[in-house]
Amino acid sequence: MSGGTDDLLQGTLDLLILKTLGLGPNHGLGIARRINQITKGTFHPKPGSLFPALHRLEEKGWLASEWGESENRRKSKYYKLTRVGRRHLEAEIANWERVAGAIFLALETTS
Amino acid sequence: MSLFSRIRNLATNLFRRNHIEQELDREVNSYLNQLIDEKIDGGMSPASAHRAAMIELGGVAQVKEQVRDVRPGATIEQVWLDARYALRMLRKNPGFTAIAVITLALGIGVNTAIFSLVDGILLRPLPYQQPDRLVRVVQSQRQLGLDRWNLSQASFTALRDNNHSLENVAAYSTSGANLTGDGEPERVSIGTVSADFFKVLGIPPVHGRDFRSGEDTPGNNGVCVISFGFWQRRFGGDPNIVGRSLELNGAATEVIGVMPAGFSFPRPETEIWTPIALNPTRSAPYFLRAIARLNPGISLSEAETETTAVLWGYARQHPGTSESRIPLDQGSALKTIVTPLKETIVGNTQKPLVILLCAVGLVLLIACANVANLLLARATSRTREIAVRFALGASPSRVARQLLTESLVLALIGAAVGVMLAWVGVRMLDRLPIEGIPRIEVVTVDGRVLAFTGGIALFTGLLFGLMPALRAYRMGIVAGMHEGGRGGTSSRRSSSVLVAAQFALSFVLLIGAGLLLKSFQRLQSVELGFNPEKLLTMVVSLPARKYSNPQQSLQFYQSLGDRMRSLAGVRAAGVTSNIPFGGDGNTDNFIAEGHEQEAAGAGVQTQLLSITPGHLQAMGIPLRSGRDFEETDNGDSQPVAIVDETLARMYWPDGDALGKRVETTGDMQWMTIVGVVGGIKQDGFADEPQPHIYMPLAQSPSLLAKLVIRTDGPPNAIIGAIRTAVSELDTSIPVFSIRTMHEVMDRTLNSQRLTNLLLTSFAVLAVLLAAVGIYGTMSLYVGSRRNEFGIRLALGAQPVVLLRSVLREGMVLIGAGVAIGLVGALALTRTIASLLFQVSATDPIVFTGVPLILVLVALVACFVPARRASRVDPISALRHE
Repeated sequence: MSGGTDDLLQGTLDLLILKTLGLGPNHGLGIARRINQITKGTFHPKPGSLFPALHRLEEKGWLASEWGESENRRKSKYYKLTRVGRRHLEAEIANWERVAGAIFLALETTS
Repeated sequence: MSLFSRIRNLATNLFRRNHIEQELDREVNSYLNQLIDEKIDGGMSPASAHRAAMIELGGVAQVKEQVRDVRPGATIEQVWLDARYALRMLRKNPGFTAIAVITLALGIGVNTAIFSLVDGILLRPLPYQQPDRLVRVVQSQRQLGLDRWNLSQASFTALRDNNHSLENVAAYSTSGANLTGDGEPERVSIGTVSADFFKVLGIPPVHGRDFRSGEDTPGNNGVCVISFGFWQRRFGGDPNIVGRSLELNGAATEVIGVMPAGFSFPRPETEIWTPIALNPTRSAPYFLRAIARLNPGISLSEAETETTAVLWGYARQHPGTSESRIPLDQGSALKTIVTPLKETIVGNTQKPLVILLCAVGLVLLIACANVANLLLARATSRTREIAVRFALGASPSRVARQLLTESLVLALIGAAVGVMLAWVGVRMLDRLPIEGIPRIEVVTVDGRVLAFTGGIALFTGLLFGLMPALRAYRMGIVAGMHEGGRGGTSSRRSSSVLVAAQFALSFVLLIGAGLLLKSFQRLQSVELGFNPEKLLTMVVSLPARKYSNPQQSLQFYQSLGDRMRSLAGVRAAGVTSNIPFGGDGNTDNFIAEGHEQEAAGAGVQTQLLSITPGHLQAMGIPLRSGRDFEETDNGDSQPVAIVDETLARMYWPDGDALGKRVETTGDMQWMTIVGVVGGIKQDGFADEPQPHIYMPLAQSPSLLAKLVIRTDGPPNAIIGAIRTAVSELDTSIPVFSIRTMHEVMDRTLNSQRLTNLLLTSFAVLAVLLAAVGIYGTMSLYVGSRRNEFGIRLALGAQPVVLLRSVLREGMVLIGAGVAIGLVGALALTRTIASLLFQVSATDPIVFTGVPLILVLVALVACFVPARRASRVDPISALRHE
């Protein structure tokens, strides 16, 4: 994610992490790369915002972590969605769609 | 997340900190390594892959710091780390730490001490059951000049038996009694009380019982309750004390109860309570003080309305009393006044205490300003350290928090030392003139006071820590690495503002202290009307049983006077019913012959005194016309009186008072005026002139009398001879309260003296702190412009010019401070106007003297840094750069 939009998009980053991990467990760099990929290069999460977000979500109980081995056989910390996290993700997606739809409508009307 | 898992996480984070840190380390490292792998896979050389990865990571330390911030418990942990770091920093700068801690300890210490006074005297509830329902009841009849007036036995009985708003009412008076029988004879302080006295206060005895109703009637009152202290002191805590008999004023009195330790009402020294022998038919004199417990849910004004109705009913049934002198149907102002008991006990000390509390508040602000100044000066030298912390990934708020923690740690250390100072101060209270200040004996430094001090410490820490913390925060925002090691102008501006504020605050304090001191001096130089020099006073009490006949007591006092006059070193001696400033004056209405009608409505009260011939001479009260009393003015001769000028002028302004008559009892026993004397201050220095009527002791005898002796040499030198002379006349008579007149008068000034002493010390402390403040600021100023001065000197500037310019800089600050202080002082001193005696709240001498003192102090404080500026060595100043 680009630096200056941190505050505005913090919630967005959380959502993107949850979404990414909804596809399966992953480690920090993997998550970053996957977000970049699924947003078609719009977001480049940097470690400075990615790590705090991961730890914050873990503190909230939405993520769990364990050490595992990565593709190139390096020890990595893997994050996965917990049950609570999955429920939260669903709720957040519904919420997001509602908000996004509303904003889209609003922009449509004014233009 | 559930509360449980939240707490578990917190616990994990706090207690397994090392583990967490290691894991974070591993995580970030593995990220970095993966990143490098990725770059190498992409075709980079290992070295450039490493560099690129590091750049993308954005600093390992910063990332970790950001993660730490989101972990719960991070705050607590950081506070702990910050506190330890702060302690380390403080240890590394012992000079700075010592000055800051001493400053804060003084500021916080005086606040703690004064708050302990305020808490003990004003805030703490009285130590009785449900004290908010306890009230004092007095009568009032403004048309007779009787604003607050005690009850008679008859009016008290009427109030007790007829009211519906009071749960219990009790009356009491205080006196002393001679305790004889086994053990040393001694004089004890007595509370003479009605039966419900202890029930009103709601405190039962720890042993035995209190008074039953009916025990306060004549013939049934041969019992007493004693204080815990007296029980311990006189009887060694004898468990069989109840039922023992004491000989009080020669009468056998049975001990029926012991009050708990700490119970001391109405006087701190009261040791024995005996029931009053209530005679409900006596509608005078008015010597009973009444206390009562309000019925639940009854307000003060409801009680006042209801008891006033009772009093009116009483007045209707008792024609010929003072209560009914102004006819009720003609709009009599007769009423009761019901006030909270606490207010009547501590009322006079409230204002001085609040003023002192404000004063120490100002001192604390000044101390804070000083410490803030020190911190600002230090922040300048810490710029690099802080910049490094930013570079290592600390966020601006993180650094600000750390600096604030340092300030708080400093404040807490200051508070700890301050509490010790306060504790010592409160311990030493009894070395100060405190006699007569209510409830002072309950003042301690306890949990409540400590809680207050804790709050003050936090407040203080925030106050002086905020500015440096904010500066660091801003510096973090603008990445201060570039500023180098030099103090910016903004820090100097902040410290200038602080110094000006300090001088403004000191100015206000000094003005307040100056006004009170001047008022005190005025008070003490007031024309008293008598000569207090070399004057000894003492109380002589005759046992009622032995001197049952008035003639006997009279004879005793006459021979006592003669005996005293024959002693070497005694110039004059007399006996009187009360002495000035003795606190037990006797006032009453009076009627002057030919002015019977106006007397009733005029509401003028007169002081009534019974004296022996020679008393006026001993006191140094000048005789203006007529004669002094003589031995022949006795019970067999015509009643005579001496009046003072104040009274004479009121009724006989042409100077023809001699031969006219006055009357005080209401039963037309006229006394012929045989002399007119000068007026005296009877109760206090600030008294308005009051009329006095003197009567011969021989025509109005008294068992309790005061002996007044004017000596040739130092009064205390002949006390032994006087005691011997009294015991030669009668060995069973105790002589007590032997004091010089100055000592008697000083007692009435204690409260003011203590206020003045404290306020003056605080003002001096404030000025010293302000002087240190300006010294520090000017040093900083000179230090920051050292090389400029060096260059100017090198270019040939006169040192004196530099000296003057620095002094001018300082004077601008002082000028601003004094100007602001002047405005503040003009606004604030109005609040102390009621405490001032013959001094205006804008007294020109005080208002010109104080600025002069302040400017002088400031000049001295500025002079040292100014001289340093004029002696800068140009070479070393430039080389330093």
